[in-house]
Amino acid sequence: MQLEQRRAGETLVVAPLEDRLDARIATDFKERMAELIASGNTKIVLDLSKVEFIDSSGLGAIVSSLKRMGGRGDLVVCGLQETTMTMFRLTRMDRVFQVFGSEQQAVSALGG
Amino acid sequence: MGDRRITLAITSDLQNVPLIGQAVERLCSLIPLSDGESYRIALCVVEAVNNAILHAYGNEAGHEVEVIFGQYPDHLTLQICDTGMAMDPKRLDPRAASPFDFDPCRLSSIPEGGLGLAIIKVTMDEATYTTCDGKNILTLTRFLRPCQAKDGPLKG
Repeated sequence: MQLEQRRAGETLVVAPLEDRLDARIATDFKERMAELIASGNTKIVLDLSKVEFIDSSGLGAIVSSLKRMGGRGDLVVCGLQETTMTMFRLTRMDRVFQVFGSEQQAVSALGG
Repeated sequence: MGDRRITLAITSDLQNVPLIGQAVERLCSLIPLSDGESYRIALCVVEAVNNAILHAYGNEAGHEVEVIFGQYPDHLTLQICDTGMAMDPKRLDPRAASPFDFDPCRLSSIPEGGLGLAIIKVTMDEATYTTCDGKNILTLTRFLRPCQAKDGPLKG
């Protein structure tokens, strides 16, 4: 899978360049996120603006990344499309993740 | 008059699942259901097909998963069929504990897996599971509102 990474101050912005974050790529995504967290990134914005579809495996991989941070950092989400927001609401993950409309808002919320 | 069935089939490879999801979403949109409803029904089918591939067939290639899309005057059914290991039908019991009943403030309670069936249960009006002659059939039903329950052809 293609995963774009960019720095915004102390924050790492991670953007899957895939239209579907699903069971086909969930394991790969989880492992890539685990590497980024293990290498010391404690402020991560997950930019899902390119993703049109998330299934439960993809969502599970995002939750796994949050858990891996172990409360020692922040993982927030931005750029959700209407369809992917549906998935967060349906599974009540909108109560777990801070969701922002834009990358800029998300980065600001994490202190840049 | 008014019963229509379309059968879609893939081999048990996760790479094939988007094909089924997109086809079901398009068929739903032709009924017509709204984009949101079509998306949620397609999501349920994707979850069911993923389960068939990963759990019934243990992610082993070369088996068939069939999806039968049925449109009836007042409801829609989607049957997901496999010939792999059967699931315990009690998992569809509406009284079974929901993984969505977690405490969002307690990290360890947030579920990473087991969400597929829960999504199906909260989205579809009915979900039943039967096994007969080695064939497992998950039947998902969505009742149509009067304005959706037309007897005409799918809208092209």
